[in-house]
Amino acid sequence: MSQSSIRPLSVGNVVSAGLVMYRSNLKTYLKLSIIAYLWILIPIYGWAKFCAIHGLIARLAFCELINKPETESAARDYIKPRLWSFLSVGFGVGLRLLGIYILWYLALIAVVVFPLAVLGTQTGIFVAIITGLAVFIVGIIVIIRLYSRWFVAEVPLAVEENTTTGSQSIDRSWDLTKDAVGRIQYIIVVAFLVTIPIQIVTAYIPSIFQVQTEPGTSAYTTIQLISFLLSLLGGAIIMPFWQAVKAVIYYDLRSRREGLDLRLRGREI
Amino acid sequence: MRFFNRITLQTPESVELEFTLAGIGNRALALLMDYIALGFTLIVFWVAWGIFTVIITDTFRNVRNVGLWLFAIAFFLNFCIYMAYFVFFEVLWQGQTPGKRYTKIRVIRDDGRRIGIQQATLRSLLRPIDDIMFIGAFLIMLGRKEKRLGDMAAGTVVVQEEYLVVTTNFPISEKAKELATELPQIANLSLLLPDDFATIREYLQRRKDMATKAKNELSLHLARQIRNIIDLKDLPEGLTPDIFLEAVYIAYQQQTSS
Repeated sequence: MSQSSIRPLSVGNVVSAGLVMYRSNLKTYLKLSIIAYLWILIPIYGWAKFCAIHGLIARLAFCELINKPETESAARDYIKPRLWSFLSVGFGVGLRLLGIYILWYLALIAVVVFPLAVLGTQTGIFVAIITGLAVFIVGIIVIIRLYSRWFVAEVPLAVEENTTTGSQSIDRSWDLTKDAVGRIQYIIVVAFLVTIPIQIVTAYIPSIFQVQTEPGTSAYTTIQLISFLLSLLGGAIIMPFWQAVKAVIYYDLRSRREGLDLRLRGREI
Repeated sequence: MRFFNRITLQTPESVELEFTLAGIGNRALALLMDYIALGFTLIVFWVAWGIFTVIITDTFRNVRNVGLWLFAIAFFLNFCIYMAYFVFFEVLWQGQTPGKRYTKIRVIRDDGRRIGIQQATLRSLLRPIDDIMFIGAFLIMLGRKEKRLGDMAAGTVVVQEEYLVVTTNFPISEKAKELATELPQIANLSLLLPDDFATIREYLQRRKDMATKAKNELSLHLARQIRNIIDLKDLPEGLTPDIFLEAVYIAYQQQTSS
């Protein structure tokens, strides 16, 4: 097909496209990402910046996908007025997941304690183990599903003109990912596999040195500081890759559900 | 910009072929699946060998170090299964393992020919080295041709299978078929480009998976554009954008085939 847009993608191709995009914009993305990780050290305002830069990178990647590349400063101008909305996306998703975790925890306690209290220790233990296991497994499935459905939560805010608040953006992610949970989980697994080699360099190798030194010595503290900085750096190196993958997922979802790529070229009315 | 690396190969007959490289995502997924399958095979092997060992050591109790010998043999066989899995499938299925088949990628030689037993064996022998410290993964991610050490030694590349788009099969209403016969008289279909036709076909094929609201907007948008392109003045009564697009699809197809 002679059109320049890309068609609905396979799981592996989503990840590859994300990586190719990161590689060809390495300087821009990495610089932004390192700045984002420095902002993290400043509470509230810094965190908002951190979230907004996530959106900024996703926006840059998405604009390339739809063949309308944007300069960094243009994207920045777009992101700026939405700064606090990005923070509310972060908090919105975080609090929702936290709420689910607490509910899950309470449910687990309830289904273990209740049978023990009512049925006595003999049969109670047996029932408690079964119900406990069931609630545990159901909880994991529910949390993974929810995580997938909020996976692209900040992208609509960074891309869509009429999405201006955090909750709109979260709802939009919810709508788009309907019927796509399985695919998104697959993509996350493959993308995670691809990040392992980088994580080995930044996270695991420093910890080898840490084992060899005695706690309390100055060498130990230095190495701990270095390994902390390296883990921040590791986060900063990987973050743009995830944002690029999110942009591709978002693009792919919109192609499938809304036919985003189906345009008669050069004839927009 | 290009989202997938491509490669041009020259066959021995000097024909140039262009392929899309497999990409790190597909290769990671394929490897994951192959290692899961291989893992299960090896578990079955070790369980069977364990039972076998118990029986043998029981019968040959007077022979020294039987258990050790059997363990050494098992280790060697373990290595053989690991090698054979990739060699066997890559030779038998022309460059594909179960994981590669699932992800629709294939190993081919640098000149586009299918790989033989030598290439498959070299790739398989170097696989453990590529796995150490993820050397292979880094080479695939950073290299222009996405070759790991095994690929370099064997002179192979891993490409995506080019397959034709599945035959078009989507429902077309009777009303659209009727309209299609009238269209050539009331509109100028020759103004439609093959690209436009491809977009219509793509829409008709994928519309069933789209969200209703977005689908309605898109079909209306496309129908309006197409109507302008083919210079259609009056639309028949009670026509939905979908029926109109179906009709244009059929009419264009008939026109080009006649």
